This record gives sequence, C-alpha cells and structure tokens, in this order.
Amino acid sequence: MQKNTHKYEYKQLEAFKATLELGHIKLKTLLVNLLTLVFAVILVIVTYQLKINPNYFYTFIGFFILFFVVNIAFYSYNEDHYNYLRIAMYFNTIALFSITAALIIVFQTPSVFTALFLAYAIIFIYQDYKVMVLSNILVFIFGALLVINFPNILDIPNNATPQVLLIIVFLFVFVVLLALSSYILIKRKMFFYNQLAQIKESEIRNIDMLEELHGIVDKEKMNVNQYYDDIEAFTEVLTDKLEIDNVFRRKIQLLRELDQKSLIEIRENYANFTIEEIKRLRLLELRVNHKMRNLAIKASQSKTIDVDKTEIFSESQFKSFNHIEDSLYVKIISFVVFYVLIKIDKPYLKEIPEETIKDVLLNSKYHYSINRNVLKIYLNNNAVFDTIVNDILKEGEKQ
Amino acid sequence: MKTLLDRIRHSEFLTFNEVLRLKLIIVTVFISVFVILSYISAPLSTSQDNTFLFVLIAFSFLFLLTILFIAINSNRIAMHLSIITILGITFAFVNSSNYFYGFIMFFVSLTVIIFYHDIVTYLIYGGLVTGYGCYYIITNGSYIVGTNSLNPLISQDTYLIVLLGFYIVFLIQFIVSDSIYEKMNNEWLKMSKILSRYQSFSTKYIDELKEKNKETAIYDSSRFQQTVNELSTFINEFFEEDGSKIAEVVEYYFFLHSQDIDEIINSAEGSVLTKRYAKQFKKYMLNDNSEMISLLYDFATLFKETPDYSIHRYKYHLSDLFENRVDKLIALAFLYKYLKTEATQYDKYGSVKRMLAHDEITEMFISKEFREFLSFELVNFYLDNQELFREHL
Repeated sequence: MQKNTHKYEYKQLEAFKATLELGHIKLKTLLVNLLTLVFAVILVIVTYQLKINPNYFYTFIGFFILFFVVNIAFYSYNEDHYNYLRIAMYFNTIALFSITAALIIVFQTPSVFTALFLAYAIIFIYQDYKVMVLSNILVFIFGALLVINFPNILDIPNNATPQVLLIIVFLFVFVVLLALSSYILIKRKMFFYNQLAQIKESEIRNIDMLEELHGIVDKEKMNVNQYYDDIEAFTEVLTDKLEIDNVFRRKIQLLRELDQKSLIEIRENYANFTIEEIKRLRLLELRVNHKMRNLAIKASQSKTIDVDKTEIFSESQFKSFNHIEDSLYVKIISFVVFYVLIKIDKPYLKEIPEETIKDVLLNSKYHYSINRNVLKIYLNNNAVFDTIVNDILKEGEKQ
Repeated sequence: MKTLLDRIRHSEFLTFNEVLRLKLIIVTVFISVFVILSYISAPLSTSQDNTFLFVLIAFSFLFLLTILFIAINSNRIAMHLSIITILGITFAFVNSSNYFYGFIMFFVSLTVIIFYHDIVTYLIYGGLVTGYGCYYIITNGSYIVGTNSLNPLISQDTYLIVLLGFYIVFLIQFIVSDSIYEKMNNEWLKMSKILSRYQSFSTKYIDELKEKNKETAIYDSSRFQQTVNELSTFINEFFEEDGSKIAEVVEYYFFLHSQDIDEIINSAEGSVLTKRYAKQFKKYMLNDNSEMISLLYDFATLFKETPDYSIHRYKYHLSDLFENRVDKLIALAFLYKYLKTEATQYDKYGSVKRMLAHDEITEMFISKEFREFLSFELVNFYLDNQELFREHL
C-alpha cells in the first residue's frame, strides 16, 4: 500500500511554513552579506598591498559590487519576498564559490586555496537542502579540479608537495561530514517548522471545537449586538472625555453591516473606506469572523501557562499509541480503544465511514503514531474490524 | 548500513541522545577511514615510523574506548573521546614532515567538532584547535608559504584569517541556529500547554452534556468493553496463540477507570506487573484529559472546515493585526468585554463558568505574558481610562 502522509495535513501548513522560514532567511541573508563584506574588505586590502595586476584588482571589486547589488535588489522586493530571497541564496552560493575559485587561480598559493573552506562556512549559515547540495558539490568539484589542473597551487619550497589524492580525500571527508551534519540539522529544522505550523493551526481548530461544544452545552451564545451596543456606548463617553469627534461610530456601524452586506454594497455605503480598510475591519467583525473571539480565548489563558526554559521539545512530548516503553498489549489496546471511539458518533465528530478511517490512518501523521505491526494487521483486515464494531457495538445500540 | 542510512533519513524523529549516538557512529567510521587512507597515501608512515606507531597505538586505544562507551550508551563521554582522538591525530600530523597536512588537519578537527553541533563543545575544543592552529601558523607559517607567494607575510596572514574566519563563522552559525531553535522550542511547548487547556475545557463541556442527558460514560458500557476485547484479541492472535492474557489486560484497563490510578501506581502493595500496566495505561484513560482524549480531538480537527491561510491567521498582537489606532481601541474594548462577560475560567466546582473580574483583567493586561497581545501604548491607554472600561463594558 502506497502512503502519502501529507494527504490529511492541514491545508494551511505549507503557506505558514514559508512565512516562518521567511523571517529566518532574511536574517541569514543579512548575515551572509555582512560576512561577505568583511571577506571583501580584507581581500581588497590584501590585493592592494600585493599590488597585483590592476585588471584583477578592479575585477574583484566589480564582482563584489555586483554581489551586493543583486542582494540588495532581491532583498528589496515586497511581493513574493520568500522566493526572491531563495533565488538570492542560490546566487550567493554560486557567486561566493566562483569568486573564491577565481582568487585561487589568480594567486595559486596554498593559503588562498584554504579560502574555499571559508566560503563553505559562510554558505553553511543558510541551512537549506538545495544550498547544502550545491555548496558541497561546488567545494568538492572546485577543490578537486583546482588541485588536479593547477598542481603547483600547493607547491611549498623545501617541502614535499602535498599529494593530490590526500587533498581530495580530505575534501571528501570535509564535504561528507559537513553535509551529513547539515542534513541532520535541516531535517530537525524542517520538523520544527512543521510541528510549529501544525500546532498553530491545531490551536484555532481546537478553539472552534471548544466553542462548538460550549454552544451545545450552553445555548446562550455570545450576544453580538449587545457587544456592538456596549462598545458604541463606551466610545461615546470615551470621545466625550477626550473631547474629540466620535471617530468610532461609523466604524462600528460598518462592522454591524459587514456580515449582512456584500463588499460592493459596503463600498457604496462607506465610500471613504478603502477595500483594504474594509478587509482589515473584517478581523473586528464578531458574528462570522472569529478572529477576535479566538484572540480573547487565547488571551484568557495566557497568564496561567508557564513554560520551563529547561523543557525540551522531544519525543516524550509526542502523543502516540506506540511509546517505546509500553508493552505490546498496551499498544494494541490503546489503538483499539482509539479506533472504536472514532467509529462512534460524538458531539465534536460525527461517525466517519470505515474507508475514510483506513485512508486517514494510512495517509496521515497517525501512520507514525501506531505500532507498525498493529497498523499493518488493521490495514489488511479493516473489514473484519468494521464487522466486529457493527456486530457488537452498533447492533447492541439498536436493540 | 541500511539501518544507519534509515536512521539518518529519519533523524528528526530521534531523541537528542539517539542523534548523538548516530553522529558518533558516523565519526568513528570516518576517523577509521581517514586514518587508513592517510596511511596508504602516507605522510606519516614514510617519514617517521615511531611517530606513526605511537599514533596507531593511541588511536586504537581511544577508538576502542569510544566504541565501548557507545555500546554502554554513554554517548557524551564517547563524543569527548572521539574528539580527543581526532585532536591526537591532528597533533601527530602537525608534527609530521609536511606542514601543509598539519594545517589541513586543523580543518578536519574543526569539521568533526562542528558535526556534533554542540555550542559548548565547539567553544572549548574548537577554540583549542583554532588557538593551537594560530600558534602553529605564527611559529611554522614560513614553512607553508607557497612557491607562488608574492609576499610570505601576507600568505601567513591569509592562513590565520582563513582559520580564524572559519571558526568564527561557524560560531555565528551555532549561535544563530541555537537561538532560532530555542525560540521555536519554547513557542511549541507553550502552544502545547495551551492546547491541552482548551482540550480540558472541551472535555468538561462533554461531561456536562452527558450529565445533562443522563448518559453513562463510554468506558462503563459493556458493549464498548466487549468490542475492545474482541478487537484486541483478534490483533493479538497474529502475535501469540493464547488470547486469554490480553483479555485480562483489557479487563484491567477498564477496571482502572473505577480506581484512583495514581494510588495504584504509587502504592507499596500490588504486583509489579499491575503497577506497570497502570502506569502505561494512565495516558490512555478515558475519564481524564489524557493523551488518548487529546489524540481524539486532534483527529477530529482534521475534518473541520476552515478558511485558507491568510497572513493574519496566527497573529494575535493587536499591533500586528491593526494599523489604525481606532481599530486597535475597538479591539481592546472587545477584548476587555469578552474577558469580563464570557466564562473563560474554572469555577470552584471545576466547571468552566467563571468570568474575570475587572481587577483580574487589569492585572492580566499589565502582566508580561500579555505583551503577546497588547503594546505598552494600549496598556497605558487602558490604565488611564480603566474606570470607563469598568463602567461601560
């Protein structure tokens, strides 16, 4: 059976992960540029002192100017910033290694050859899969090609010339170890992004569910009109106290109408509000949009939640039916209880058809939450499971 | 090898200790391959055999010790030993006939230390390696100046700059990634706790609903118990023939619902086995806000209709949501009113029926936790006008 564990992922996940990553890419792009600037300043001073061919000198300065101009350009885009910064990431990787390779070819000394490692270190800051692959390939290929094609790069007077093979072996060890390190780090980073994005969406859905249940238990729903009335009365006295015009009244009136009228109608009645402003005001609307309700519920719990700084996000935090320390019996029984419970109609979840349950357990994160062998037995015999539940539990209910 | 590759591929699901163990195995393999290859292509063996013999014995000893500590799961000690091993090899190379290899070995050592991705280890061992590397260049730098060098002094400085730069850049990388992870770690933990609070509220509402409808708890239903028993026995048949044992465990699981499970776990009496099962079942109890209940709620969230992602979806700070001051004040008024008029707290009977009083809201608004929602400017506005809030909302 082919599984696709992304099939039942929250649909908001990917977009939010990109937003989360964007903040970090911005920081990393700035850092890479800053370090490259230091690298460039040192290089300019050194090449000036060495009085090398002015053509080379100005070419290097030109390379660095181009590097920073491209970075500033990519950084300045407001729209699709994430993708532009990703392009900048690839550009920086290729550019930095190319400049370093050019330097090695111009100077042809062992000391400049080691600058390849410095370029690698700067690019390592990005912690990105594609950049990792690209930089490892570049450092290995450039390094190997340079020592093979320019063997005198490593020539040292009164000293045995280092063997090309050993340098290549070193490059290989360097690349493989750091690539593995990077791979493990990136995997954990992506996992963190995923978990954080998932829990953020889960929070909203849990609040919705909580309010649904609250509504079933306590029929008295939040009186939205009363809210608007009270807030309007409050703003009246507030503006009197501050001795200003009531700038709130019209907005509150607009809020009252937001859930009843279309955007076009609202625009006609409130011509001095831009579409952007009206869209923004939707966040304040109380009947349809739950943003303010969610914010208030979250805020109401903020003071009672303590996070111990020494606590670590680890596997012990994960909820599952497959804890290493549990016996097989417990793994079986916990899964079975869960399965039977999802087959039953509940106030927060109506009965789900057997085929959907099977599909979810195969194609979602639950795949990893259940003991592999137990899950395999269920997937191969789900019809039997369904029959047992129907025969004992559901038939019994009918009687 | 396949297991090792699988573990690397799924390393995000491993604990920190397991990841360290994985890294140790990789480093040990690499150090071995590196020593063998460098002997074959040979800067050490060709020059001074005694040095090589010494390195070989020392390396073998450390290597065996590292493996021993990995085997007994003392991974931190094994990590230090593997770093000491590579430092020893570096020292041997540095004193070999070819100074350039010695210089390159500083990078190999740093690479191994970086691989463990532990900032303290990097600061100490990496600092030692870099410090020694700088000393080495200052004292022996003239021996590794290239034939094509235009200025020997600048060549030596280049070695220094590259080594120091390499160390500093990775140090920056460690600081940046650790601070990013720490921030995400704390946010996740906080969210996880708040989520558990919402779920406990949901459980309370369900209990109230059952009480209102005079329904019995699902774990007390004999049909539910029988279904669980039949299915568990069915699965267990694939593992063992005797189905009676699991039936007993199922019975014990439901029995635990009528007992104080913590008392059973902590009791001095009772068999080890029953206590062990009680401990393992605690997280799957149906009469508590347990892991089982949480998994059920999570499962239910998969089927909820929700709007698509928008940039404001996970933002809760009023300044992030609204640019206009008037909008922020309306939102503040709404927030105050909601906290004052809606039940958001447990009452003394354990039901979610208590509203916050004005003073509690004020205390909340000025707390540091509330900076996640309100700016100082809004809090000051509230404090200046709190009587109006109290009287009219």
